[in-house]
Amino acid sequence: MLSRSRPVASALLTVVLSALVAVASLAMPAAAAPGDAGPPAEPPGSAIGDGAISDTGDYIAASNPDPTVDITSSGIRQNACQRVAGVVTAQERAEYQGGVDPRVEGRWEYRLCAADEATARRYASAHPDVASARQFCANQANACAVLPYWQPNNPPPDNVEIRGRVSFFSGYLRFTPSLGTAPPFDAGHGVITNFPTWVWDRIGNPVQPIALPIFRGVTGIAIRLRNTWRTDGRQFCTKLGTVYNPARHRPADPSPDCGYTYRNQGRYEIRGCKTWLVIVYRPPWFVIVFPMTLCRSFNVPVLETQVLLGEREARVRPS
Amino acid sequence: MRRHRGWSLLGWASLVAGVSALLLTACSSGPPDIVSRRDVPTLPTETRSSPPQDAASQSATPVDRTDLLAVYRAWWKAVEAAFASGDPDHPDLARYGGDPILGAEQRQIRTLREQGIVQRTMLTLRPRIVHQTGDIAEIADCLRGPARTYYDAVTGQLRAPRGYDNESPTKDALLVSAHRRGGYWYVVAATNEGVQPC
Repeated sequence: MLSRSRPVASALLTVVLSALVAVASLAMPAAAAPGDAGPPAEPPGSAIGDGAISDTGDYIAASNPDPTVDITSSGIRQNACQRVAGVVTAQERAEYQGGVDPRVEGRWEYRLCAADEATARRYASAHPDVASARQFCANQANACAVLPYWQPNNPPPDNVEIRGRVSFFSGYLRFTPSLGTAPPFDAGHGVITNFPTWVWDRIGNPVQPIALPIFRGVTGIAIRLRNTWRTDGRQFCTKLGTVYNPARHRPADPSPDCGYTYRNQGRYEIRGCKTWLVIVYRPPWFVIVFPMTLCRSFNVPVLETQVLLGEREARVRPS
Repeated sequence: MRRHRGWSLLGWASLVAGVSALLLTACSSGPPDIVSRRDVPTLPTETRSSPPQDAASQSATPVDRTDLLAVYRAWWKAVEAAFASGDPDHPDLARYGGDPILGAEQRQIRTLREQGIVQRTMLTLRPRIVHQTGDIAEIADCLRGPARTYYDAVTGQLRAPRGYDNESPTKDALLVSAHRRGGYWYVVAATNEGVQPC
């Protein structure tokens, strides 16, 4: 009887063990076929390395060490610079600050950079030469810029000497709003309840040179896209704001574009944000474009006051 | 005595493999959980390729936190220790790192832990300061690691997490930014955006 069951048990054991071997063989790397001599694969990344990587926008934003300034960025806009025709002048070549050292083989070009690839293509198509492109971009509302650029024939090595390498950091505060108010909110003063407060940004330059300590240091320009102002739980303005001028404005008039009237005394926060389109040379051979928003908050005392003074003096200083 | 005929060499090899697999499975105990370092087999010594100054340090040598590169190396040592133990709250992480890189690595540790895996590696670093001014610095580096660094946290057996290969050494080309706050440096962010390969 035992001899009759042995062949069946032996067959079952063989099937089970064969399955185990099959599973084990799947877990082992396949041997290369003879003559399979493709290029060696790049070693992969590790979980540790992958885990370290931030979104590009976060990396850009993290470059600011000033805790009073908040920065957000949505990351680099791909292909946001398009070529326009023109011969780069000798002066521009001499003043060239960014990108690859022109001693690397290549050619001079002009690039029109805008907020994104579609916009850059549209602008470059409509203004295909440097003269018309610069005239178009001179209008700040178009939020674009034309830059000279050395296009290398071949990608240069990573450690190539970069002209204009960032050797200083110009500071983020120049790119954040600087709050001005009437009545003035700063030391010893405050704005007034039930009285129109004018709000404006004291730094009004639409275009500024910029140097950032990221991506090995980048230099270029920043184009102001918009300001936003927020207080008392609401956004009340999306502009630079008009500077109060006692020679031109009546004291009790509200601001034509950026103003707020507080109803209750207390300490309030006015948070100003400024969004820039940053266009910079990034070593070794890129021009990159990304938006960047910088915000600062200002502590504003709001006072109740008996208006015993003339209205003009009340605008300047509460009693 | 009857002898079994018809059992080939492959059959005997299959038997050995099958019995070994059964024994290993029987030795695992309890639900998947992070085990302490002493319960997991140590790395084979032949994978250690780091220069002495970058070798995994078991000493308690204090790190000069005013020294940028010292903090940079200490950060990656802290990351190695945290990944090896599967502990996203390893105290050295916050001592040498800040957000967003701190939160990013902590999330990665948790992701591996959910799969029951730890990574025990020893990175070879070759940092190059590409920019430093005031309280900001940027370092270019190629983090190289050996093969076979992913382990099952319970059994200690080699096991790769989803999307990773356990049979190849690793390379990560990074730009890493650091900030100085209160006199001490902190590693704060990393990118591989446009970074040329190692």
